[in-house]
Amino acid sequence: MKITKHNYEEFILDFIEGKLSENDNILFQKFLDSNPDVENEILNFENVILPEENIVFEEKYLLKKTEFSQNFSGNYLEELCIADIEKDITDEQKKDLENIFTEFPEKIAVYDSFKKTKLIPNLEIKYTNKEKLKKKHVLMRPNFVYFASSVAASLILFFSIIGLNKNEVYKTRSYSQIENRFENNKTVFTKTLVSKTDLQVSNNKLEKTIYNSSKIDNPTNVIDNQIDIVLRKDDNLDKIVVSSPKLQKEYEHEILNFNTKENFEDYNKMAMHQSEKNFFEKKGIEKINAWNVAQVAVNNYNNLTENNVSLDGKFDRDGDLKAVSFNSQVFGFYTNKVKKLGINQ
Amino acid sequence: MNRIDYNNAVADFSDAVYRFLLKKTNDEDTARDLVQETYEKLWISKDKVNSEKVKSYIFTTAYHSFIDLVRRNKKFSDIDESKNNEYSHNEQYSDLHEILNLAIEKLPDIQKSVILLRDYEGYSYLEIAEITGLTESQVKVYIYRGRKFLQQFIGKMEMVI
Repeated sequence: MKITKHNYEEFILDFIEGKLSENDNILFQKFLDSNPDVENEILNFENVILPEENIVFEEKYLLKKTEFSQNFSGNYLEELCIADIEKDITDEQKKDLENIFTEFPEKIAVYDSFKKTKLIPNLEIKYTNKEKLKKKHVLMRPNFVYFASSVAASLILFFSIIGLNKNEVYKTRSYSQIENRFENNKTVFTKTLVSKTDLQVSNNKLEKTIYNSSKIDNPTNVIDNQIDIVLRKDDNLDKIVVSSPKLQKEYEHEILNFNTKENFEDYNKMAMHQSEKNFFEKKGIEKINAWNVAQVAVNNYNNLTENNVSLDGKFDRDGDLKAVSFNSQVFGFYTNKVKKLGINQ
Repeated sequence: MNRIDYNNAVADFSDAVYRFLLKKTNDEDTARDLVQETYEKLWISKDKVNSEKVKSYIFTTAYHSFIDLVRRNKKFSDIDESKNNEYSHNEQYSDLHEILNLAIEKLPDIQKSVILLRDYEGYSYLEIAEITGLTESQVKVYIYRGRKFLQQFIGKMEMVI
């Protein structure tokens, strides 16, 4: 191939690097002898040679990938930092991380920034309604009520035996306590008011009084908290109604059949006896005694053990027990299924 | 699990699950309701729950109760919605704790849940997966992504402060 001014550049680099064939080398040398300007150009070209430089990409670690890397947009260093904080780092990765920190101490700041992402719970935040979440024994299941009442009844009988006092004052179910006394051959029924405001009086006299029978004398003046309603001897009355228009109240008092021939130590007990006899006679004496015994037993239990157990009953107008509630520190129950408890039987 | 085990679970874990739900809902009343709902479900299922696994059961139930609440009310952010680009705000923050709380609120709900379970309760990836219904690898991915976001958010906030 003939070397001319139109194609000599194709041969320059190979000529400089000594890569021309022997024949082409001779031809190119002849060309240079014939073209001194080209020879000058080649001499200048030989001076322009770049020196070797030791340039290294130091952060190769950023380019490294693991099996997890495809799911994570961060670089390898960030992945290592998180893995270490998560305690999810392999030994090899731990060595990589340590090497990075040794070679590039400034990268420790990256690790510190990931440490800050670790949440710490505020232990002062507490759930305050734990007791409402807890489950306790349910006492109102019927079979437990029966069991509880059996236990209670046994305890009641026990304490009644050891502490029953015939002189105990029983609760009565009369609507009011009426004390009777004999005075000048007249039966005087005295109503003990709960307070002076129960019946408001004007000028110490009842403003209005209603009687079922015209045989009753007018009442005497109100003295302290008592009003006396005087009957003639042997008069029979069913009830006395005393009303106070000002208070718009009426108090109904049952007059009990009164047997003056019986001998009692005092009229209090006489009245009490008559109250019970008339009010409860038709109901059956056993029931009354059982309830009274129960209350006595509860009182004695409380006195002996310094407890505050209570046994309360609700009665209807006929004196039948309608509901019972029992309360103690250990457990308590209420039931209006009295028949099932057998108390009225 | 008997009643005693159940009551012990109330004493041992109600604070932790309340904290978790409070962080999720940012509402004390809602969090309390969810705690009650969680424990009622536990009580109903107590015969089927092993007392050794009760903590996991409680957190699983609590998590799903929260999800149900979100679906019912659509009150909270969508589960998959990302708030990763919301770095700007106008308030002044004085410490890392406040910044971190703000950052947590910016996370997608699923990332927030897994990070709370991881950091607050120390659950493993497998346990978190059981609670949330994710795979173990999904849990790991969400935690890594969540931490990356938190790290970037904190970094930007600290530059501003």
